[in-house]
Amino acid sequence: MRVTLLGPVSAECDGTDLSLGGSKQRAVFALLALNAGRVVPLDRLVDELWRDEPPSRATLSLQSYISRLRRVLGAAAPIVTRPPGWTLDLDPDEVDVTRFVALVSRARTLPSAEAIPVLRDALDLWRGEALADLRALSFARDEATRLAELRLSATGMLLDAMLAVGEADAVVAEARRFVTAHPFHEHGWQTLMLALYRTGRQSDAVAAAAELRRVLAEELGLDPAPETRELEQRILRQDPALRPVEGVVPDRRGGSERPDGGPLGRDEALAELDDAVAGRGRLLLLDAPAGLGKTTMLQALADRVQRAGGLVLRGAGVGAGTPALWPWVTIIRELAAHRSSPAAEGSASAAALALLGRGDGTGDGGADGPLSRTTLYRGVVDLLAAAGTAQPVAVLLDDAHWVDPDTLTLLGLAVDELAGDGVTFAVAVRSYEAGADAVRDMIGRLPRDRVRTVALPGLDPDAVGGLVHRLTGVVAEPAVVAAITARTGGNPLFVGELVRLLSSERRLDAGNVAAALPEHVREVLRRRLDRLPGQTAALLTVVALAGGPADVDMLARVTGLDPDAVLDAVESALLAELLTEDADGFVLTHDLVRQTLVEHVSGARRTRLHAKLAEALRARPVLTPQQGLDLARHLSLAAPIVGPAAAVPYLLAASDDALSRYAHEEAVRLLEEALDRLAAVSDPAERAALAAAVRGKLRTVRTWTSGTAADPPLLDEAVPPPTDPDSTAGWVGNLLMGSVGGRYGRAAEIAERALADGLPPIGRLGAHFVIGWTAFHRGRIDEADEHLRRFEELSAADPELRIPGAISTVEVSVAGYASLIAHVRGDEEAADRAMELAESRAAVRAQPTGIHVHLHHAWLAAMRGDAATAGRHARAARSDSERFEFPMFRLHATLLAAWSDALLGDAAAADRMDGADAAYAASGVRLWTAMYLMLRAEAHAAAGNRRFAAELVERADAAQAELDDACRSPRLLTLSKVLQGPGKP
Amino acid sequence: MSSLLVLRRADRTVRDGEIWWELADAAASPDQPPAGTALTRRTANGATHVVSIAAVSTPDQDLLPRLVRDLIAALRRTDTSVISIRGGRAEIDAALLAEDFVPAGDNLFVLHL
Repeated sequence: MRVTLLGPVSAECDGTDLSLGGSKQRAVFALLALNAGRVVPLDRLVDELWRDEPPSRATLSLQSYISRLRRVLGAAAPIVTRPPGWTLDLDPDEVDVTRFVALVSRARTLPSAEAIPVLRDALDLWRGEALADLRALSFARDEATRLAELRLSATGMLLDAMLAVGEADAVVAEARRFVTAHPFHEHGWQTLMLALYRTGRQSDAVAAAAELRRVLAEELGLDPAPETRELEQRILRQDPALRPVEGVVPDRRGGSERPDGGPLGRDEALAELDDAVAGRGRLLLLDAPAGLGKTTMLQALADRVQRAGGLVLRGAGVGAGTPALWPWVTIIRELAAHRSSPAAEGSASAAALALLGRGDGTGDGGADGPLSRTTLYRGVVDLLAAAGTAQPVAVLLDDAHWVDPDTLTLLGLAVDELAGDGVTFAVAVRSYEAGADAVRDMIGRLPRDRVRTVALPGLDPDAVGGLVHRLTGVVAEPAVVAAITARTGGNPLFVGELVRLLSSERRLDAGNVAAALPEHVREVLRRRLDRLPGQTAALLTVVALAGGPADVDMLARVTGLDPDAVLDAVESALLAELLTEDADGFVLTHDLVRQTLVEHVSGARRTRLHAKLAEALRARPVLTPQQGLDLARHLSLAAPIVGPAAAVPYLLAASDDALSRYAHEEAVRLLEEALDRLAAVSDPAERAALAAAVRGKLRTVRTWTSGTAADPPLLDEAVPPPTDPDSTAGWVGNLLMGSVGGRYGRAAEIAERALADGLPPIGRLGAHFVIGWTAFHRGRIDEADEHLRRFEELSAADPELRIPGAISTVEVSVAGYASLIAHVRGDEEAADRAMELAESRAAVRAQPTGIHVHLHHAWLAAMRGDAATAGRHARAARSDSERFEFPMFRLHATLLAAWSDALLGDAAAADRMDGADAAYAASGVRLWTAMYLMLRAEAHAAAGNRRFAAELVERADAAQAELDDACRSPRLLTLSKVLQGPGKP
Repeated sequence: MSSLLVLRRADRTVRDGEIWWELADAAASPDQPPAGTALTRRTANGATHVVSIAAVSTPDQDLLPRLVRDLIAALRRTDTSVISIRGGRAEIDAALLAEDFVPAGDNLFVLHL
């Protein structure tokens, strides 16, 4: 590539002239080429070429010129977007102006003999007047004038050098031409005089001086300069010093200054950061209103840690609607990418890596074993601790007011354990946001010596002045700085936005700045946004409503633009630093930009855009957990168009995702949100059907994670039949959780009626399970067997048929109950085979399915009277229940473990079993009541208390009658008869 | 900023070399007509002629100049070598001249790219 600016503007690539277009397009190219390798700000281009046009129009045109030039220049000279403008990525030597200036500069450093060819090369670059075809533009005129001066200077240097090496004859001719072209250029005349003198033409030299004097007098009314008059006198007296002298032109280039680039006016805060990095770690709290530089300080901390050879872990994806624990997912993924000695980690850490490090939300709990929330947290803390022993580690969490409760809980644990051991935590919270109090509460519970609050007051005038200089390159007048400081309160974001606005409006002076300063940063942002082309503003609005990163595909789908048009349109926003790009797409640089964009969009238009955003997300073949949540949010906000129920399936999926990370509270919150959405469904039947599905799941989650029976059951309500996997999961959950209080018959009736009325296969699957399950607990073994077999037949016919749900996996339960049924029928081999099947099914499922299998083992062993096996599985179930925080399962496990202990000779175990049974009864769940009473009777009999044992057997009989909860264990039934003594049936 | 107008290719049947463009509100309901439309035709030698152009024009809002500017910007991004368009209204003519178009007589303006 060769670029010619020393003449009409042109560019040549591989011998072919490039078509640079009309004058404005050539001017854009010329400005970029004059600054090849350096950023030319968008505002400067607008200012130079569209001075009288509104900025939004000018930017639109400029974008299209850039786009066209990119097409013309191709890869030979790419135009790179680099805020606040563009850079022509071209070797400056390929631009004639740059080469010319460099050659002239070089010539100044060389002896005359060597300078001559260099200067000739420089002058040979000229093809006419510089920027000759752009002279209508003021920048081109100014640049051409500067270059013409430099050309004259170079010519003078060449003549001087030639004279110095004795080429006086040649200089006479060239100098004569030079002064003819530039009759007022005295240095040219001096050169001519000296050259004439050195060629022995003293009288001609004096005559040249006289000619100069005449020209100056006649044309300008001036006398020659003292230097010319002195030379004339020296020629007249034949001064010997006028002989040739070899000289070197001194290099007059100055040094360059590189700005620091760190946060201005934050010395105290930076000292806090340095202290934290150098010390043993702590939690740094950056609690300040928007714009005071929290994110900048986090970056400063990151820079310091990285400079110290440390590892920076950022909790990304923080925002309204982020999946539970997602910031920790990103932290662990980053940690996983950097860890050096995975073998040294414990099982908890490995499991945490398996669950969070993968981050794809598949939610199967990892393949290497069970993982509870407690274990997960332990694993994360251990991973950070291990990383902290090898290097300084900083964990950064921006916008912490938006994070979910589980993320905060884990943060609190991590800080408590690690802040004194070299790990630095930094948490930024925007004051006055709703979620800020939760963060402060968490921090308030930490030891005080672990926490340091980093003050971020407004900048003082000195710092504001520095910021103005950094942003504009000019030293602002004190009055300007004072006005900006007073208006912004020293808020760095406000200062930056205001200065960019004033600079782009060419109003950054004392007179203007005091006249009409916007009062609020939002007003500044609004005016900055108004300077963008309409299409760009439209795209930014879509990004604002997207709520998170928006990629080109999404923006194209929502607006109907093609991807190239999207890229062109967002470019000016990138250059204005209102938008930035990360790995997942475009994001606004600050939440205030989002608020400013959104506040002017009417409710109806927002609704339509949310519907379009949802449509764009739904078009994706695969959704990440975050995208699933985003989709649910957009559908919720687009409810007037898409209907209030549209978001519900995605909220259910998000709930399952939360459960897969043991974020029970978040799962419940999402299900409650789904119920809120459903309240707006106008069709009562549709509302009831969907609500039943959601409530069923909600009850399941609440029952197993709270340790008490959930809200009043739905059994007496009109429960719509299941039609799809989600509604089946909810329907099954409703019936099961509604009947655990001892109302199996009612649940069975509903399921039988649904089955009789006709159900799709997934619904039949659910109905057979409910009927089989209730029949077993009612002691109707044949009926239970029949329905559970039907379940297996349906599943075998269509392996895709599966009832979703992270809490309980139905297929595992079916196999477990089949085992118990086989035992009751006396087929122990079949019982063992069924239990093996349950185990194999559980092996690929998330917890608490494993607990379920342990409990089935323990129930079977208790029925068989195998205390050792029952004890082993009960203790495993109890341990996992504690780790997974499933208190309901723990109650069962505790009871069965105590029975095992009693049968194995522990005299106190029977009393422990009484206590465990009382706690179980208090939960409101009545499942297995009769069998547990019989087992208690057995335990007390083993302890020698036969009277109480007999009483317990009677209570078991009563419970069977009252609750319809029958125990059909042959061994326990025989035992009951024995304990009741003769005379009982 | 309340406007979310974008210039995009319309999904309308056209002949070879022709493109319908529409200036449409990205937040509009599907049944809402575009605020402006234009038809461009590409010739065999790589030139593009704006065959027709029309936009909503009321005393409060005249979108034709916006449509012209957006269309020129969009065409400039293509590999077309020449753009021609008929002017005739002072504001449109001024916009075209500002975009380096050259009057070719009979209200025709031409831009060589």
